[in-house]
Amino acid sequence: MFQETIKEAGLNPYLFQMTNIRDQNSWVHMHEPAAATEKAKDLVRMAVAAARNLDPLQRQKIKMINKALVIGGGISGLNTALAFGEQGFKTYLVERETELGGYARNIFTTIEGNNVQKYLTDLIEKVKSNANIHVFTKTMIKSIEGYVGNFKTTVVQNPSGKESDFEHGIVIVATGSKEYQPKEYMFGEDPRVILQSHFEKLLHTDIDQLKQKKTIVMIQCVGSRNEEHPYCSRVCCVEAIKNALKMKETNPNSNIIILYRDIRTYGFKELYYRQAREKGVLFIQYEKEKQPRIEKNKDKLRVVVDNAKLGEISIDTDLVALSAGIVSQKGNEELAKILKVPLNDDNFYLEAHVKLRPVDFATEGIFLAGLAHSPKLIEDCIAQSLATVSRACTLLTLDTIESEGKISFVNSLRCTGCGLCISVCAYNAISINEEDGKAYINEILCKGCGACSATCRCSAIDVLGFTNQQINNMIFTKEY
Amino acid sequence: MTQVTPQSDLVIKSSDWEPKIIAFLCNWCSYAGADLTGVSRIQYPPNIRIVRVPCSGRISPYYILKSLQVGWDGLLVSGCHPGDCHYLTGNLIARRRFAVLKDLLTFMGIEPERVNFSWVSAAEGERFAKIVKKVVEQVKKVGPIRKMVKTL
Repeated sequence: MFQETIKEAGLNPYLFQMTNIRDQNSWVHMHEPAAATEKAKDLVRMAVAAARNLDPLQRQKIKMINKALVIGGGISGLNTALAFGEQGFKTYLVERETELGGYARNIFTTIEGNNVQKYLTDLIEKVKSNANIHVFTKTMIKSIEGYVGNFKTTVVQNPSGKESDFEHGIVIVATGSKEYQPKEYMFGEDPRVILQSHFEKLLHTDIDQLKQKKTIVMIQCVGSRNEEHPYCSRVCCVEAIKNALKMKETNPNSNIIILYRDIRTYGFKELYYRQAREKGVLFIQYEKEKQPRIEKNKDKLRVVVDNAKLGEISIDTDLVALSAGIVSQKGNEELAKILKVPLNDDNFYLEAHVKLRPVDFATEGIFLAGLAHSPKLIEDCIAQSLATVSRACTLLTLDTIESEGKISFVNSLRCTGCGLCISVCAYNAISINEEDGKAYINEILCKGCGACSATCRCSAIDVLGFTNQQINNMIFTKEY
Repeated sequence: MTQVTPQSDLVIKSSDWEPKIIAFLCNWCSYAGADLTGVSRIQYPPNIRIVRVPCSGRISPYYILKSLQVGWDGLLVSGCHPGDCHYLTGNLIARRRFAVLKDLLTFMGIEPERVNFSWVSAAEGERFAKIVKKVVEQVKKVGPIRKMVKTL
């Protein structure tokens, strides 16, 4: 507010130093006027000392390229690209596979009964026919250089090896994730042990085969919530209950037994859990330490489960469906390195702040959406994609963007190029200039936190607006 | 008639020594927390002098050494709670840096009571007042700083 006034008066708004006599003095020492007055004198003295070394600062203006790059052509990537395209922003959609659609191609309906395949086909059609969207399939990212507003990307088309370059202002990471491929429960050894996704496919394409199956056992938390993958994959309980209900609808006499650790049907999907119980789907709990086991008895498949209350139960079954969890893509590490964005312990992309900036990366101009971030249901992916679009549009709609005024700067004469500053910078704003071996700060990416300055052992880095000189001046007022 | 405060009351007697403590507060959490203490009219001892820094990660060990050298009797560094840093990881870097620095200062013979690190969020006005009270009491106990102060 004060700075605005200074600016209106025609002065540089950074020629301003504030001390807080009201909130941090008179209001908190109401009954000690003498001591508070002494404190006020000291505070003013310190502010004056700091003000002695104020400098007029400038904000840098840089151009914004109003184009977007979306990496990944699944439900999240498609929705993001389409929303950009429909708002008139030129968008490059890069997909690694031959077909668009991502993991959603394995999903036939949602638990509410919505037709996912139809939705997906329509979505792909809309994306392909949008003149603003350029779709690359069978294409990998080779490099992404630059910073917010001014990225330059090179992609390689497989198998031709044809390279193309384009410029864009923002990046969306929507690379998705995949289903865990179990090593447990004789998966791959016996054809009667299949994945939940395979079971769903049979339900929708080969129902006659399933009609002969009298008993079906589903095992939950396969490769989930263990040491290797400690998180809950969120979708598997919903998935199992969805398929169990569908099976019951097709063949009400079939026995469906779900072996679970905890049933988590998120939100209002709890209603479908109740519905499944009402329809006669059996739920038997097992403990993490006592995993069910599968025995092969001649031509019969037998599942043995240990329940805390019922003891050991043997179930002869015709089919076992494994609800495998969601695991991160292998390529995440590579792309994270190219973009210089962080991954969490489970190799999913890590947002800047779980509450305050849930779809942003810490690095300006890079956003994320969908399964690349964490396991989630289709509706969550769509909601997150649209959130990402609205965040990204706050940048895309601008012609120029302004840098912070109070940022770090390097005194090259003192810099030894040790790189400590690079390791503490949360914004990837610092790099070593290859020509002279000195640290170089990107004025657009720098937020002026000063971690680099306090880390620098040569005192080569300082922060404009909070210079070492100014802070020292304040400390030294004790001597007066 | 209202009682007029006699002028002599405004002069602090030299015999009651009061410590002077410098506080480095991060702009986003602790400085805002200190403001909230004021807005909530929560009272605390008037011994601290606040220096605003962008982030606790901005605070160089040099500031702390210099503060003790020029005669601040104690110091308080406060940042956002771990995980809540406005600059993502600044407070974590500060935490690591100060853990080492405090060991060094203790080794040098600086009473650990003088050097205080804490986390105060923008919503914790009361907590800020409590911390200041605690720090002031601690520093009062160990008395005026002598160890690093230049006396010549």
